[in-house]
Amino acid sequence: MVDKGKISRGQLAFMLYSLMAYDGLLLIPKIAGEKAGRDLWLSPVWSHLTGIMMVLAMLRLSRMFPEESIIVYSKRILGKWLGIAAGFIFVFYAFYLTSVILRIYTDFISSVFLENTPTVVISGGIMFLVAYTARGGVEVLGRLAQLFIPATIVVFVILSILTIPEWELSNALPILGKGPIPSLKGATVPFTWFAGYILLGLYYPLLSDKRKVTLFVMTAWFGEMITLAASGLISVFLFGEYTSTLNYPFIEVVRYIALGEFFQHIDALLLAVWLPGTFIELATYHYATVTGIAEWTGLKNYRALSFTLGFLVLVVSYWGITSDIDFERYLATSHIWFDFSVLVFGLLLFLVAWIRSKLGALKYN
Amino acid sequence: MIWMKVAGITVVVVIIACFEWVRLDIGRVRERVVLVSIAGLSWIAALMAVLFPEMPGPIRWVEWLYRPLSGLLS
Repeated sequence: MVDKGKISRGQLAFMLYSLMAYDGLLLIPKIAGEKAGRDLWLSPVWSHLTGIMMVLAMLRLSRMFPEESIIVYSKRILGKWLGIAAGFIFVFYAFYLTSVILRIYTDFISSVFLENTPTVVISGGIMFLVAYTARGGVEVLGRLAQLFIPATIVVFVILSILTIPEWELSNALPILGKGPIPSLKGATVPFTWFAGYILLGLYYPLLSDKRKVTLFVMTAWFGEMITLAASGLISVFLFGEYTSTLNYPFIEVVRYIALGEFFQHIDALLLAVWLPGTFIELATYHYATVTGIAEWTGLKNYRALSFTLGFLVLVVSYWGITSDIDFERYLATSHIWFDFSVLVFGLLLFLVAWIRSKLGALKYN
Repeated sequence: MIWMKVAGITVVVVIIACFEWVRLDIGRVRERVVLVSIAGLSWIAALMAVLFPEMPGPIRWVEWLYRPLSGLLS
């Protein structure tokens, strides 16, 4: 690995948790709600039960090559030229997802909180911090995840508890009233997001202790499922089948909270959940891009690339997208297929490695 | 106004590239080549995005690539 730093298993679990939980919190109730109606909270459960195969495949693949990153071992699995192409797919995915998440972040902050601020200040500000973190190395990233993510989980739980007086349990009934098909259709988007677990191929060799990693990764997987299902369920309790008509359902949920007369604007607390979480998510993807490119081009030092690539991410997040509506339509259509093809790519890589190791044709060292 | 933006982008890219250039150890040729090519790429990309805002960027390319499939879901 190009980075000599190490992270603990718990830090990896927090980073993996951030990959889906925060964007999901915001977007899944709407995207799944359009297909699933009042069963939208079941969609993350279905998607996680099927997505577990990607998690296990990537874990198994990483365990075959515990000291190498996906860029290096894909050359062992597929041969030199195909391996280089596979490395490019991985790097492009990490880079591209950083831009897409940055765009989601910018749209959300500028439409809900900082309406009059120029968007380049919002996205440029966070991207500077993200690039600075990635430049610091994986240990900085891991410790920041350990610092921020538990706090955001606590705030999320408190916010959820505070909405209990407003719950209308009958809104969620009948459960599966139209059969399981609508909620399964709603599960397609969160299922394709499992492509993010391909990052395990880059972070696994950085672990200081490689025993019982499955347990920690599964905890992250389970935490994501609970977070997404809970946020969906609370949205349904409050808004019923109208959830998907709201732009960001969960922020409307938090706006319902009223504590006496002196607690106002609780929605700022949601920002305290969402901002550090998305920051870790962006940094996890950006670090993967930076070290991925450094390994792919055979560099010894990856730090020099962090700010330059950060600038490129910023440019791509603006380039050629004129309106938020266009971008949302893209997220609900073509982006699903993009993520899905990366997911298939990860599974194929695992299958080829597995078959070749069964045939005894794979050299491990 | 547009020239202000072009000048601003150039200044930012040059500052980033110089900042990293002086911090690299002596003799790291490969690192310098990659650094300068990515900086150049992002400079060109930023100019394209500012001067021709209608020109499709990478997110549009991916959208175009997967457009034939997007009808299958609805």
